Amino acid sequence: MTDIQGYKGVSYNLLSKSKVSIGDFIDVKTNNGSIQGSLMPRYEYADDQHIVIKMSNGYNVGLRTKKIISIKLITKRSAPSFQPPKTPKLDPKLPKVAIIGTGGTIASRVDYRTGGVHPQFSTNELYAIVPEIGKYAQIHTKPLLNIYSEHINADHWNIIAEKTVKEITEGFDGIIIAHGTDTMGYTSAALSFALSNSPVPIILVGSQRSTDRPSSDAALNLIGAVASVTRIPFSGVYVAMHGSVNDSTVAIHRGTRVRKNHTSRRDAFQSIDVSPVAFFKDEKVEVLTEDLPLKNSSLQFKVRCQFEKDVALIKFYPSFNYKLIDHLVDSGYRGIVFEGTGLGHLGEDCYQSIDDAVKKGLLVGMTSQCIWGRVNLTVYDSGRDLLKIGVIPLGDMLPETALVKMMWALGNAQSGKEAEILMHENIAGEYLERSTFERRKKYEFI
Amino acid sequence: MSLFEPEEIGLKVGLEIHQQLNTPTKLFCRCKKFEDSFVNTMYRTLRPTQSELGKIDPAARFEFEKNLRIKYEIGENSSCLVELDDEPPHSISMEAVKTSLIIGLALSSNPINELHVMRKIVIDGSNTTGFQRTLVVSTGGELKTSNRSVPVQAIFLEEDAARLLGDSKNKRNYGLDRLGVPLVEVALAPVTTTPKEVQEIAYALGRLMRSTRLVSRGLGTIRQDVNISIFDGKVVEVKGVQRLDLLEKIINFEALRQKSLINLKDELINRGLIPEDFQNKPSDITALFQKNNNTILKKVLKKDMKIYAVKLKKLSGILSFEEFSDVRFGRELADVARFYGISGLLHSDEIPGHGVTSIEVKKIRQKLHLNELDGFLLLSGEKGKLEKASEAIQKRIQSAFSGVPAETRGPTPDGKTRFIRPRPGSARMYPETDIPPITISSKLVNELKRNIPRPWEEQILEYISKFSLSRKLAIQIYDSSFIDIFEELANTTNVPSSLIAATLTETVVNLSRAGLDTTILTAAMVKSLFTTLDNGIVSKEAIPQILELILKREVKNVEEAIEKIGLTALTDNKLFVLVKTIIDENRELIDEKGIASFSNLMGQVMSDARGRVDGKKVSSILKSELNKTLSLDNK
Repeated sequence: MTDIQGYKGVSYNLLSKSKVSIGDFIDVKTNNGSIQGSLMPRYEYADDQHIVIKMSNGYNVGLRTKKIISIKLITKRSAPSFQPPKTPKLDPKLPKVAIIGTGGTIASRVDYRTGGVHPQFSTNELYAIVPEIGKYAQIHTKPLLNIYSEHINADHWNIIAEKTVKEITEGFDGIIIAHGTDTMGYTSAALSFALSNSPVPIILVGSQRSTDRPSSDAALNLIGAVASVTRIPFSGVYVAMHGSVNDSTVAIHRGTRVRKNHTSRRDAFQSIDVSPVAFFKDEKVEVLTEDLPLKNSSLQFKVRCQFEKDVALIKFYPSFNYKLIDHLVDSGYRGIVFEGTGLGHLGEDCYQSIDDAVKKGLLVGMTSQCIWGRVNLTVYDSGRDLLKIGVIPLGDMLPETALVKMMWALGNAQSGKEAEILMHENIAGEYLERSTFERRKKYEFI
Repeated sequence: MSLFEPEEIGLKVGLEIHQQLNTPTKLFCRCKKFEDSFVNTMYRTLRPTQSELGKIDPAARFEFEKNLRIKYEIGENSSCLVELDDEPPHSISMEAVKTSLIIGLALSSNPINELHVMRKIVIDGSNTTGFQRTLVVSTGGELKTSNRSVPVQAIFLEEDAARLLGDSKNKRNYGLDRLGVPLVEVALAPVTTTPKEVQEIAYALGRLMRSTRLVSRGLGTIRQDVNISIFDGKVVEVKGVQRLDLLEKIINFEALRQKSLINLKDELINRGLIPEDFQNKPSDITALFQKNNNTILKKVLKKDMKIYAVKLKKLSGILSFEEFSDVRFGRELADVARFYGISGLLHSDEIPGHGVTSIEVKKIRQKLHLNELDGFLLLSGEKGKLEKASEAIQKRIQSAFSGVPAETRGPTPDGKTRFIRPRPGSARMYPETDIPPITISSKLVNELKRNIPRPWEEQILEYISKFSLSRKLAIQIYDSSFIDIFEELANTTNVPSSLIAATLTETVVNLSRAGLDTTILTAAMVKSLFTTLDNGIVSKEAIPQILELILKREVKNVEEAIEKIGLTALTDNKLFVLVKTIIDENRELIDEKGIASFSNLMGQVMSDARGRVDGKKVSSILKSELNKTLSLDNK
C-alpha cells in the first residue's frame, strides 16, 4: 500500500503506478532532465496535474505530470527518530498550574520533510520549548480537545467547564486554557458565567501567529498567562494576549469584556469600555484594578455549565426583513439578542414580529452594533416602543457576551422568568456601572 | 604574484548573486516605496522552532539566549502589516516572478512547472517572521562569459532582508523599508577557477541581469555570496560581498586561510594530538588578576565577571604562527569567542604582554599544571557565557583535526574574512503554508521567451553607435543607475550624449571619491540640470560646481545652485559687448603684440564668462573681433 496523501486523479495514478510513498527519496525523469528529492504530500485543494518533491537543498518544486517520463524509487523513507526531552525538575515551592489544551497549538514541532506541524502537548515538551514558564509555576499539561476554535460550540464549553472544575478540585492554584483565538472571547464569556466565584483564576491564552514560526506570539502569551495566573489576586476568567505589537507586554482582559478586534494583529484582543485587569511586562505582573472579587473568598463557587443552543445573535441593518425573526420563532428558538443601531434601535417594521416573539415566551435582548458604549431605550421613541414590547436593554454588555449569557441563562434557569432575572443580574462584570472616558487607547504601543 | 596555483590546491568557487528587482511593488505586499524615512518603532524577540527530531539548532538557541531585543524602524510608505508580521502575506508579485523567469530563460535554465514558496529559518532578526520567504523558479542552465561557460545550479526568487541599522551587545536595530523587496538569486555551480576569473564571471552575470532592464542598479542593489573550497576541505560561504573589486582579494585570502588550516591539521597530528585532548574544564583564575588592572581582560570586567583559563595541550607556538600574512589560528579561536559574546581573550603565544606579566603567566602555568609545550587561553566575561565559549572554542580546535570546517564567514573591508556562524543545514526549510503554489504554464514560458534581452555586448554596440559614445563611456553609463534618465535626456535634448554620459559617470564618480554622497542625486535633479544647459541658461563648465553644491547639501536643487554661484548664461549680445569692452581697454597691448595678444585677452574675457558660456564660443567671437580691430588698424 502506498501512502500518497492529498494526491488524486492523474498524479495519484502516476504515483501509485510507480509504487512510491510520501517521504521516499525518488528520481523523476522529465523532458528537461532529472530531478531528485523526497516526495511531498499534496494540499487537498491543489490540482492533479503536478507532483511535489523536496530537493536536497530543502526547496519544494512542483513537476507537471505531463512532462514526467518516469519515477524511480531511490530509498524508502526512514522514520525520524524523535528524542523526547527529559522530565524537568519542578520546584515544589511554586504554585501548581494546570494547562488545559483545546486546540490551537501552543507548542509544536515542524516536520521539515512534509511541512506538517506536530502539536506538542506533553508537560516535558512544553518545558523544553518554553522553559521560562518554570520560573513561575509547576506546570502540568492536560490535553482535552484538539479543534480549531471556529468549530467550538456550546457543548464544548460544557466539556471545558467541567474539566476546569475537576482540576480546581484537584488542588491546582490556577488554570490556563489554551484556545484558538477566533472564538476565544465567546468561550471566556461562557466560562465566566458557568464558573462564577471560582476560587482560583482561570486564564485563556492563544496566539495570532502560529507556533511553527520563530516570531510566534504564543510563547510570550503563555509566559504572561502563567505568571499572571499565579500572581493576580482575583478569582474569575480572563484572556491573556499581546498588549501591543511589541513582544513586551501581555494584557490580561476580563473574560466578559474582551473582543477580538483585528483579524491578524498580535494585539487584536482589547478590553472594551474598560482597562485591562493587569499587564505582564519584564517578568512582572502589574495589577491595574482593585474592584474585582478576590480569589479563595468566602463567596460560593457556583458551577452552572448548561447552555441553550437555540439563541440567535442578529445584527440589524437597513432593509432588514422581519421574516427572519418570524422564522426563528417558528423554528423553536428560545431567545434573540439584537445588535441594534446606535443606542439600541430597530426598524419599526420589526415591532410586530418582536411582539409575537415575546408573547410566545422568547427572551429578546438589545445590545449595540457600535461595540463601544451602552444602549439606552428611553431616549428616543423607537427605544421606548421596544421597551414597551418587552425587549430587555442589556446596558454596555458586548453583543457576543450577551449572546453567550442568554444561552447560559436559558440553559440553567428553571423558567423564562428566572432566565430574564439572570439577564438583568451582573454575574461576571458583563455590566459596567460607569462609562469612563477613552480608556481604550491608553495602552497601545507599550 | 599569487602564493598558490588554483589547480594545485583544488580551488573551487561557486558564486551566488543576489540582485534586487526593479518591480513596482514588494514581493508579498503592495508597498511601492523601497526606501523611506522612519516614523514608528516596534520591538520583537525571535525564538528557535523545534525540528522534527525535537532538536533546536544550538547556534539558533544561542542567539535566542542572548536575549536579543530587536528594534524595528517603520516607515509609513515602505512597509505595512505584512512587514510587521502582523498580517499574512498577500499574493506573490507576478511581475517579480516573470522577471526572475526571464533571467532564468536568458541563462537557458528550465522553469519549474509549479512554484512553491518556502520558509527558510533565519532568527538573527533580519526578517520579522523569523524566516525568509524564498522559492526556486528554475533549475540548470549555463552562463557564458567571453572565454568559458559556468553551469547554473538554480535560480531563486526571494524577499530581501530588513536593513541592519545598528548592532550592539543585546540590541539590534533594523529598518523595515528593505524587507520584502524582491531579489533574484542566481546560484552558479562551483568551478575550478582563478580568483581573477571569478570577478569576470561576476561581471558577466551582473551584466546579463542588467540587460533585462528589469533590475535595480547602484550600490547595495547587488550582493554576492561566494562558496570557496580547496582539496580536503569543506565549503566555506562568504556572505554579502558588495564590491566586485574585493572578490579577488577575498578568494585569495580564503584559499590561503584554508590551506593553512589543512597544514595545521597535519601539524596537530604530528604533535601526537587527538580531538579528545580538547575537552578541558576551564579554571577560574579571577583571583590571580585581583591587583592587575592593566590587561584587556579587565577592561570588560564588571561586577560578577570572571577570568577563566583553559589548557590547550601541546599547542604552544601554534596560536600565533603565521604561515601566510594575517592567517593565525589564534584569530579563528577569537572569532568563536566573539560569537559567544566574549570580547576579552588572550592566548599563551601573546603573553607576557598585553598587560599580563611573566610572573602571572608562570602562576597560570603552575595552576593548570602545564609543561613547556602546552598552551592556554584566557577568557573574561560572564560566568555562563565563559563556560559555553570555552566549550565552543575547544570544539573549534577539535574540528581543526579535519581541516577546514564548514562555516559562514563575512568579508572585511580590506578583503579578508571573519567567522559569522556555523553553516546551517537544509533542515531549516519548510513550506510557506500561507501562499498556495503558483502554476507556470507553457504558454507563459513561451511568452517570456520573447522577452529574453539581447546579449549585453550587442546592446553596448548599439549604444556606441546610437549615442556616439566611446566604448568605455557606453559601458559605464549602461551599467549605471542613471541609464533611464540618460536615455531620456539623450533623446529629448540637444546636449551631446557624451557630455550627459560623462557627467553621470565620470563627474559623479569623482565627486563620490571626494567623499560626497552621490546617492542623493535624483533623476529629477539630473533632468533639470541638463534642461537648464539645453536652454542655454548655464554652460557645461558650470556642471561640476552645481553638482558639488547639491551633493554638499548646500542647496536643494539646480535652480538654487545657479542662484548661489551667481551664474546666468551670457547671451550672444552680452558676450559681444564684453569682448568689445576688453578689446577697447587693451588697445595698447593689441597695438604692441598684434594677434599674439589673443591668449591674454581670452584670459580676461573668461575670468568674467567662465561657467556662463561655452569657451569655444568666446574664443571664436574674440578671434573675429580681434581680427576686425587689427585689420581696421592696418587701414
